[in-house]
Parts: sequence; structure tokens; C-alpha cells
Amino acid sequence: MVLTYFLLVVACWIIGFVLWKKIYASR
Amino acid sequence: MLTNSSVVLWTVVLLLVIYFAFVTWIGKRGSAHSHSMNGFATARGKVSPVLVGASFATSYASANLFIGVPGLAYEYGTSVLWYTLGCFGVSWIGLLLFAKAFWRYGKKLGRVSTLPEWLGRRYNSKTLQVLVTVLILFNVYYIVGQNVGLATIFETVIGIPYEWGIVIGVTITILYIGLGGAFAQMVTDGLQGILMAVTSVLIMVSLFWTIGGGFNVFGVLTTQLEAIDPGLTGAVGTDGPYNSVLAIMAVQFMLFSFVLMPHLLNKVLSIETEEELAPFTMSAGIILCIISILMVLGGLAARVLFPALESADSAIPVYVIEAFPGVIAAIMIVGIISAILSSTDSLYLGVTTSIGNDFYRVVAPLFMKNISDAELDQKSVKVAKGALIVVGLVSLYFSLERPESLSILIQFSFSAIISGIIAPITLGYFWKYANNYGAIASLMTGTTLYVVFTSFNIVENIYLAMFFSSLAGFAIMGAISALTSKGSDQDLLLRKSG
Repeated sequence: MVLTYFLLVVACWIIGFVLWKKIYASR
Repeated sequence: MLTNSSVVLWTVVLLLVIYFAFVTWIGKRGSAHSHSMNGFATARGKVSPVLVGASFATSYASANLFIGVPGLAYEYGTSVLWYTLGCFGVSWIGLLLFAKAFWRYGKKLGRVSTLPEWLGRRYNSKTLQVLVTVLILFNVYYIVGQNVGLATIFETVIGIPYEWGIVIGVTITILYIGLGGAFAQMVTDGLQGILMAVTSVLIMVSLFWTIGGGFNVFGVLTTQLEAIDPGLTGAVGTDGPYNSVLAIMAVQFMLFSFVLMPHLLNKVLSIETEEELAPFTMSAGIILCIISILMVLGGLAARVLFPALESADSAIPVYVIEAFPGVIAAIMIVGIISAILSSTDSLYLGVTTSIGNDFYRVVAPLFMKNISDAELDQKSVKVAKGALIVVGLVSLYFSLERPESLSILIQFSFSAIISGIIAPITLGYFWKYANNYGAIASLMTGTTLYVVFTSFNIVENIYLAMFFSSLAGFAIMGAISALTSKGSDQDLLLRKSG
């Protein structure tokens, strides 16, 4: 369970980072 | 009394004295900014966006995440991990989606420093601005939760009776805020972020020696939890607030909309230029991740190591004292105290600024016809500073009776606020026909329904209650705005201010 939890945290990072790139970091 | 408690006690006291001295020094440097309402509330443009991001994350993570949620994990097991996962993942994604839109709109409306002001300008309604301020008073319960967190620490670590812990907690908090102001708050939040991150990582690392099992530490933890009660290791709980897939989805909805809390959105408004939103959101994400996902593991470990605690909320303080040597434990206790103070200061500042800026400043001119703008601004700051003591005393009174779970109490307070403001904020941005009649009706409906649902146990699960009352808020707002809208309110407003 706890390992799945950390995997889901990583998944959120990927989604968040893609959104961040798209919305905030595009020059 | 614990054996090494005197070492812990004096180290904690020493660290707090150093810490408060630092805050006072920073506050002195920033006091030039805090005489006008705008400076008192946001310290705009004086602080690096990375620090504002840290401030967002540390305000987000309070006694709820550092004591309350590990307490729930102690009680209900791994199903609580959905909550902390959402605290980082869903809330950060929420911030990324809302921040730019909210910030741009704030710019269009002119200089706004608080959420009630934003709503008041968007809907061109002083009534709405005052009503949102009244709604923000629900945050007093949020502050009560923080007081309970401090008292629980003092009780566990030093053996001070709960009631005295509350009095000491409120005194420390008021002193801390009185020393600083928004500028000191932002700068010290960076320091607190580091302290909170260190505490969180230490909790995670400590599992290797308290639970053991090398790299299979989480496997061992799960096996031992299962031995106590198989219900503790499911993805969906058998008991408690996370006992259905629907409830877990409603939790994610709540955490997604949690970034709309006034004391957090005020941080977005203190960003000066659009370019600075990028470092702000990234810094908020990184710090929020570290400080929100790890503490809960301490609650799970405490269930294995100390299965017979009297109050589940004391899981983390007991775990810290038992798992670490005195000086390290003291540093971590100060880390938890700073998690509480960094949220409480934003909450107090949010409540008192709204009382000064959105209530007094709007209502006072109705009674004092010929007051000058400068005089009104000065008086508003005075009212805000006076409200600090009043709010502190009210929260002290409410804290004297210990709540069963501080996490549930805190979640009640912010769900009541969000149920009222979610539709006016989101529809105000996305739908040009949204108007003040709809917004006022939605605010009243959402919050009233939430309080009724939870008080009379109509909807037992607090998360589902929030989901349904928010939904009702959207429906009412849509219906009333559509019926009363005369052309596009938004165009009219932007033409006026632009």
C-alpha cells in the first residue's frame, strides 16, 4: 500500500510538471 | 513526565527564543511596510516569489497535516493516505490551474489584496464583500484546531495540562504575529519550510530503525498493521471517513478546491508580475510535496509501536519523543510548532485583514460621512490589529473543550468556507453572466447547506456533505444569475475599471 502511495505521488508530479511547463514556463 | 523531557524542554525553549528573536528582527526591518492596509496585508513586491511559494506551502500545511492527519492514520490506517496524496497532488494541480487565471483577473480589477475584495470588485457588490468576510470568521475554528495541536504537543512533551497548553499556545501565537506582520511572515515562512521539510524527512527515515526490515520497511509496516486489524491496511477503510470510493473522490474534490481558501489565495495576489508566477508555483509544489506526504507515515508507525494511546492526535508527539534522541526530538518538536505557527499567522492575518479591509473599511463610511481616505486607511489598520487580540481570545474560549479529532474540526471549518465561495470564484472567472445576486444566493446556500448537513447528520460523511453543498451552490448561482442577468455584467465591469 505504502509503495503504491509513493508511485501515485510520482504520477502527480508528472501531471503537475507537465501542467507547470504548459501554463507557466513557456517562453 | 518522560525521562529525557528536561533536555527536550529546555532545548525547545531555547530554540523558540532564538526563533522569536529572529522574527522580531525581521519584523523591525519590515515594519516600514506595515503601516498601510496594502502593506500590512500582503507585503507585495517586497519578497522573492520563491519565498512566497514557500509561504503558500507552509501556510497550507498546519496542525492538520502534522498532527491531525497522522492521528487519523493512527485510528483508521492506510486509507488516510488518500488524504495526504491529495494534499500534494490534487492541491498543487489546483493551484497550477487557478493561480494564473485568478492573478490576471486580480490585475484587471486593479490592486486587490484580499479575496473578499476580489469578489466585491468582480461582482461590484459591497454586500458580497462584507458577507464573505463574515464567512471567513469560520476560520476561527481552523485556529482552534491549531491551538489544540499546540496544547497536545505541550501535554505530551512537557506534561502541561491541556487547558494551560491552550493558554500558552494562544499567547505564543499572538506574540509571534504581533512581532512580525506580512513581511516577517513571508521571510520566516521560508525558514519554517526548511524546518518542516527536515522534520518530515526525519520521520520517514526513522521508520528504518523503529519499524525495521531494511528496504522492505513498508512491507513490514503493513504486515504489522494487518496483525493489529486487517481493516487498517486496505485502500478503502472499513471504518472512518474514508470508507467508500465516493467519499475518497469527494476528499479529492475538497483538496482541489482547498487552494481557494482566502489565506492561500491572498498569497497569489502578493505576486508582482506574471513572470514571477512560474518560480512561485514551482517552489510551492516542491515544498508542499515534502511537507505533506511524509508525516502521515509516523501516524501509521505509532499505531504499531504504541497501540494504546489515549488520544489519537498525540500519535506524532509521542512518536517523536520515543523514536529520537533528546536534542533531535526537540528540533523536530520546534519543526511541528513552526508548522502550526506558519499557518496560524496566515489565518489570523487573513481574518483580521478582512475585518479591517473588507468589513470596517466598507461599513465605517456609512456612519462617518466625511472621513478622508487616508484617515480611513489608518483606522482600518488599527481595527485589524485590534481584531487580532479579539480573535485570539475567542479561539481560546472555543479551544477549552477538547475536540475528538482536531483534523475533523479543521476540515469542518474550511469546508464551510469553501462550500460558500467555490461557485462565486470559479463562475466569476469562467462565466460572464455570473452576477452579484447569484453570488450572494450561492454563498448563503452553500454554507448553510453544509452546516445543516453536518449538524443534523443528514449527510454523515463530511466530504460528501461538502461536495453536495458545493454542487447546490453552483446550481443556485447558475439559476439566479441566468434569471436576473441584464446583459453581461463582466463586460460592464471591465469597461468601468479598464
